[in-house]
Amino acid sequence: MDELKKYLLAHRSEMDVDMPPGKVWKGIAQVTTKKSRPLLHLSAKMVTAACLVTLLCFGIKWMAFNEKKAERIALADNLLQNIKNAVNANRQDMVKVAPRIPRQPLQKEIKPDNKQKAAVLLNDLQSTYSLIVKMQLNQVRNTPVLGEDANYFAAFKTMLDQMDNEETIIRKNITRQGITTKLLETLINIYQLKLDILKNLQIEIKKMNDVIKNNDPAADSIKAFYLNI
Amino acid sequence: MFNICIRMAGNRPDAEDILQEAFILAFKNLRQLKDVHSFGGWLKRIVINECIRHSKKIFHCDAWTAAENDHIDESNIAWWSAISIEMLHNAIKKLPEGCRQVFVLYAMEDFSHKDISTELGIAESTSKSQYHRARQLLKERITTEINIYG
Repeated sequence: MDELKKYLLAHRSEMDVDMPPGKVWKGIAQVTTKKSRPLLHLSAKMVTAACLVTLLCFGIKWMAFNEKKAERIALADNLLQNIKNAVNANRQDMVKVAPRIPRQPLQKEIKPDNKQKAAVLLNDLQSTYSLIVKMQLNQVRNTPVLGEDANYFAAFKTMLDQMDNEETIIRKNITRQGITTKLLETLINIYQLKLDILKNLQIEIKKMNDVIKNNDPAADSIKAFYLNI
Repeated sequence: MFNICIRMAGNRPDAEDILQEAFILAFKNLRQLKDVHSFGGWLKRIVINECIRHSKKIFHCDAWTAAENDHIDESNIAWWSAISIEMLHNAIKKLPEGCRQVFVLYAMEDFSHKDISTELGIAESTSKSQYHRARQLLKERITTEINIYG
């Protein structure tokens, strides 16, 4: 690698000073606020079909499923404990790696007599992630935005709304079909994506504010806005 | 992302269009994202692809002499370190079409000449010669600017 290239790669971030105008985000928001197909339309159909097949085979597979009862409870407990540990260990870093769920060979519903326990675990999962998302949202809402109005970040709001819609669809699917590992993993991915979006939004606000403060001596007198997302 | 677009396009209006197209494309293909933690890298790849697609519409390579193909002149060591990053960045943005894209992809986005030749549909030797041309132009232009303005 030649020396100029090394120098440029080392100082690359110092060259990232240009900012796009608000009309770019408005243009993106205009296109993306059109009705889009649900993200998991095909996945929901596949999960439904898998659950129907599983129910038909339920009587034959009852003994084998019973043997794995203890394993499933331990898996769900482990999942919840991992999430709680991650939240308690480092609240400053809101974006966490989603706990890896071992892939199961078949989409199986949790046995009826464990449904209540699974529902409780699912509620705990949802409330834990919702708490983290809410904390991140509050942080964004309380961050002053200099130089641009709130519409500048409309695209981020659109993405968050889309994630909310996807979460609603998954929750409905879980209510109808019961908890499957695929639905659970998808739900966790949606929460993770929300956190990523909020983190990226904070980074963008901070970058923009820094550029304005560095380039405008009268930055202190610029009216600050607050995002309502 | 916008800075990548500006460096590749060379002007703000085109960069804004490319950025908008890239984000819309990303939204439409969000379901193809398998790992949420790679969202940033995935989006950056889409932005770079859109920049390359835009460049290929206008890309043309001027012939460069074969003698100046491979040798990098390091005799004047680190002339770039004596100037501000802002001046260097502005000079990069003003490089002519063709060599600017190659320079940005190679020196700032860390593409190999082989990858650049594949993406832009040019020979690997052309990619190398365009990069050397860009380096030479940067040095000449910045030296001239310093001589004129101090």
